[in-house]
Amino acid sequence: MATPALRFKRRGLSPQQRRDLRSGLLFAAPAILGLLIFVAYPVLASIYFSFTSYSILQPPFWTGWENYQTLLFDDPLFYTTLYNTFYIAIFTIPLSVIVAMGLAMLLNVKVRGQSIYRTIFYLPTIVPFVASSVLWLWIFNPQYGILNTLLWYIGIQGPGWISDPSWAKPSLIIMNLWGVGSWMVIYLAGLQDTPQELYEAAELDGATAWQKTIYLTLPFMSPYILFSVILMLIGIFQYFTQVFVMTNGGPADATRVYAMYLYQNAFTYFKMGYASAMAWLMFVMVVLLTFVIFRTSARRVYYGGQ
Amino acid sequence: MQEQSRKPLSRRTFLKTLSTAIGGTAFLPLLAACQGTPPPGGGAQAPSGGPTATVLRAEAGAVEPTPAPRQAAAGRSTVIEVWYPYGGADAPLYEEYWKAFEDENPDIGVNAVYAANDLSTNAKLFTAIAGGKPPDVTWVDGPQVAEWAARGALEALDDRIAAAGIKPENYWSPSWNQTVYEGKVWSLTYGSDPNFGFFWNKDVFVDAGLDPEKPPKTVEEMDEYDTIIAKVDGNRIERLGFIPWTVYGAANSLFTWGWCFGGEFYEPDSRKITANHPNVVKALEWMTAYAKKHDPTKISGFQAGFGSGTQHPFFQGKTAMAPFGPWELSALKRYAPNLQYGIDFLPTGPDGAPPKSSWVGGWTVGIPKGSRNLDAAFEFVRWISTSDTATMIAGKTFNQFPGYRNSPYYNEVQNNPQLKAFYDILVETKHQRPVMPAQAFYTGELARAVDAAIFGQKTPKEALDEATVNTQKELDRILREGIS
Amino acid sequence: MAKIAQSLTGVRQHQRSQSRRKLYGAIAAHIALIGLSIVFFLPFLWLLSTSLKPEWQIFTFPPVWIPDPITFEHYGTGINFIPFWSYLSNTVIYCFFAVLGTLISSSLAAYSLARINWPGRNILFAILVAVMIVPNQVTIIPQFLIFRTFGWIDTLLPLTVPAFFGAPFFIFLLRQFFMTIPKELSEAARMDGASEWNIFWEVIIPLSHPVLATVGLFTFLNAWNDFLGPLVYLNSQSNYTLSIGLQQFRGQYDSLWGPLMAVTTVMTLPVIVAFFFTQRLFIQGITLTGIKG
Repeated sequence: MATPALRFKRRGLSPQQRRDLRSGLLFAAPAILGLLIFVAYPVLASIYFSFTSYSILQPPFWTGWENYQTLLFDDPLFYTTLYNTFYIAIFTIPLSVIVAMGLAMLLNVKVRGQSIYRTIFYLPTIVPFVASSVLWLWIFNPQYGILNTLLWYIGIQGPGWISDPSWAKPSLIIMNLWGVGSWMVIYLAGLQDTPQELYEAAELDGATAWQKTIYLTLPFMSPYILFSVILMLIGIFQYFTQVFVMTNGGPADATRVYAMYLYQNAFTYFKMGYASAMAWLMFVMVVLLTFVIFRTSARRVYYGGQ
Repeated sequence: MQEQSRKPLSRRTFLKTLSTAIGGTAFLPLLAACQGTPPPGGGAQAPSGGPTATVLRAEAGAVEPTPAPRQAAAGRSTVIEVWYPYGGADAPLYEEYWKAFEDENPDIGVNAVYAANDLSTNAKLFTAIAGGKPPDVTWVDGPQVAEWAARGALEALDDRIAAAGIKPENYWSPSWNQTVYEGKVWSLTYGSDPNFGFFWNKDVFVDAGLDPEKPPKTVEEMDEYDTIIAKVDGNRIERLGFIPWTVYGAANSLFTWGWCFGGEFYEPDSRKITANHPNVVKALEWMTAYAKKHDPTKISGFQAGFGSGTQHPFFQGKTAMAPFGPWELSALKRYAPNLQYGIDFLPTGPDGAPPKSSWVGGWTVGIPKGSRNLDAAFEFVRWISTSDTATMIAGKTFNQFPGYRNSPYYNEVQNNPQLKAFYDILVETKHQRPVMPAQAFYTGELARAVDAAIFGQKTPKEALDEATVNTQKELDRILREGIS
Repeated sequence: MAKIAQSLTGVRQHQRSQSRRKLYGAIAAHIALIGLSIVFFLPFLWLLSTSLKPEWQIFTFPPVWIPDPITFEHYGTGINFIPFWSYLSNTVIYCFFAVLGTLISSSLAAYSLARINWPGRNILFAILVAVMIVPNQVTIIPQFLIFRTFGWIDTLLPLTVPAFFGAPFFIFLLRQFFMTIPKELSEAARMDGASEWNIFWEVIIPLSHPVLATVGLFTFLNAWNDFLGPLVYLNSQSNYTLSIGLQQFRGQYDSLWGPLMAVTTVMTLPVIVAFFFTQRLFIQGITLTGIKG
């Protein structure tokens, strides 16, 4: 009897704790296995591949920092795709926040029929990307598309949109704005969570709608905005389907985005090592940017009750 | 026209008015979209006329369901798996090959699998090879042979070719050359495409006041004809003489015009990429000047209503001149039966460029590394490339000129003026796309260069310099790492 | 008295002007909402209108808004161009197993993290959160190679099997929800001698229908819409899902806008219908799961 007691003592676990540990691990086993097989191993492997030349048919061989060096100092297309990705991010993210917040605030007004409006605004986000890309390709058609038709009605000769290098990125941004529904719903949830007493008090003090928005709504919504901005950032670095379906990177590289170039290297040119290095640079950039956003927003984000 | 007074929208005005523009649309019944899906395959109603309708409907008829994998005939001692890249209307016709081969080889059965030749297919083939389960035979696009060989994806065929008594001179020389890399032969050419015949639409020529029997003889003349033929209605292009960068994709367009202008793309002995050869630069400058003449974005607006293949604007009388391959003859017969056209050599480039310029494209057939039925596989490769039966099927069923010069099909060609025109082109041809292991990359870079130049983002020289440097780097890397 | 009366009228006036202001506000809100609804809905109408137009009306300018006559021919052509039913059944299989696998594995893991007090669970949770920001692209190449060694390329297995091994984001959502269920409930069951499995299956799961529905719907949509996965793993047309089939269709017949729009409509409609029926649950779910983190 002395031995088990000793062991318990040494491991510091009571029978209940042991039971908990066992069932905890058992319940989490699939997820833990999943993490090991589908995340941990791939992450380690891709670090390794990023230092090799690997074309699937031959085993990888070590090339050291060559992939990274080539990317950073010797591949203009890498910077082109980075520029395109940042361009799209810099316009899409703030505009999405504004549009989504505007829609959420409208939906938060107490009038009838809100569930219908909410459904309509949300609808674009559930349409498969491939389907919406094909649809927008047709909308952007310079000769027969709806967009230039509408512009024509109001007396404007529309541009070439997605087939014009200087308009292709703005076109993608417009298409992105059409899909802000999920952020809108998140903001709406946040708005409905804000304390009504404060608004009533502000109204008694004669605050205007604008003042209420600036001094009450935005501070209360700031955690939601921060959350959405970070997720949008991660999403835009992975932005792929729309471009792949609509333009395949053209015209004149105007829409060749980072994720697309990565895919191309991996599965068109079979440069698996090079593509892995791109993936890791992307990860580093996402982490750095997330960190910067957290840092710069620290003072402006208001977490209720703190 | 009303449109002429409309000002082009600048990006700035657009951004300024984005929010207001969004709201200014007509009201439409919102629920119209919720009426439910019509039953699939529901009753087709005839379109009520319109000139393009017939053409488009005909095109719609061109597309056919994807072929299911084909099972070998029963009772064969050896069964080979063959991957072929043709879907659409042509696919069912391939049964003729499998059947004829099985008839002539009673021991061998053919399982044929359609595997589209696009990005995902290379991945499919390469993973199949790496995973040890490759097909026994696969079609390989000519310019990919060297690359696949260098990657170790193909079996060398020299011994078997020698044993079968096949000689280089049996093939059109560019078609043989494209299968030889590092001194070994990696596949046998299936078809030799004389790229290209210069097609012109006689009706459009008449309509524009040109002599329908006189195609342009030089590139300069082609430009002059374009000016006469082009119809621009305000900001809307109605018709063009031609579009220089739609010769089966931007890269093939540059190959076509680059050689036409007397350029070269690769120096095999020194393994140097020469995309910035002065005459290739000249060709791209000419394409760029054409783009400027009509405004590239307007042309892409015009193009957006069309596609490639049977949706090419030439089929609808929207462009009057186009370089095409012989396989378009049957497509034209089927989808634009009333179109009156002629075929000639490509116009000659400027400044003493060689006349009658053309190059040879086309597919080859090879054996992936790891095939377990090498003998039967090679028998199929030999049969499809050189046998009378197969080469006759190629010609008669597919309008596909065999790579094998001794094919009896070439006797038939003499009696058909249209095919004869292509035969004459083929006889003159000296070029094939560079035989080197960075060809896919090169093609991508050339396409990018064309795009960048015609949209005015780089000068043709800059764009081609960049393509040269990038491709050279990639080629050197592959050669240095000695993948093979 | 007079003073009181005066102030009363003042209040009344104030109330009247306030209710008028409210009325104007409501009207303005409606106008804005209707206007924006049109903007957001117009693309769908354009899609439907194009898919129902006779071919020659598609390429006319200015365009015909309401097809005349309405024709279903593009649906017939579009669906016959591609092995539509095979794409559909592949997609449904993918969706079914993805939803099933995710619900089982993720709720088990979430239960472990939220309701069982075992050493190391906080570490596991932290890892799960960290994993959420690892981009797809980092893992996709090695995953591709793993599945290649299994011989799973060109099957639906690489798409469905991982679902049975938990999805960090959904584990996170479910955990947040399970945390809100009072401890007393499971304690009471435990007193009655219930095992962890009984508690999970008979106490927690029945209380979690809204969040399970949300996770299920999200998973369904992800699978239905997934493009990169099928693009990387599927090669034969007989294994294609709708999303990749549509892309291929677009690549080959890029100017057959009528059939293209018809197939797009057919692909879009099921999700729209699914959403119409479940939208309350859906949005409730998003609110419920406290994305605030």
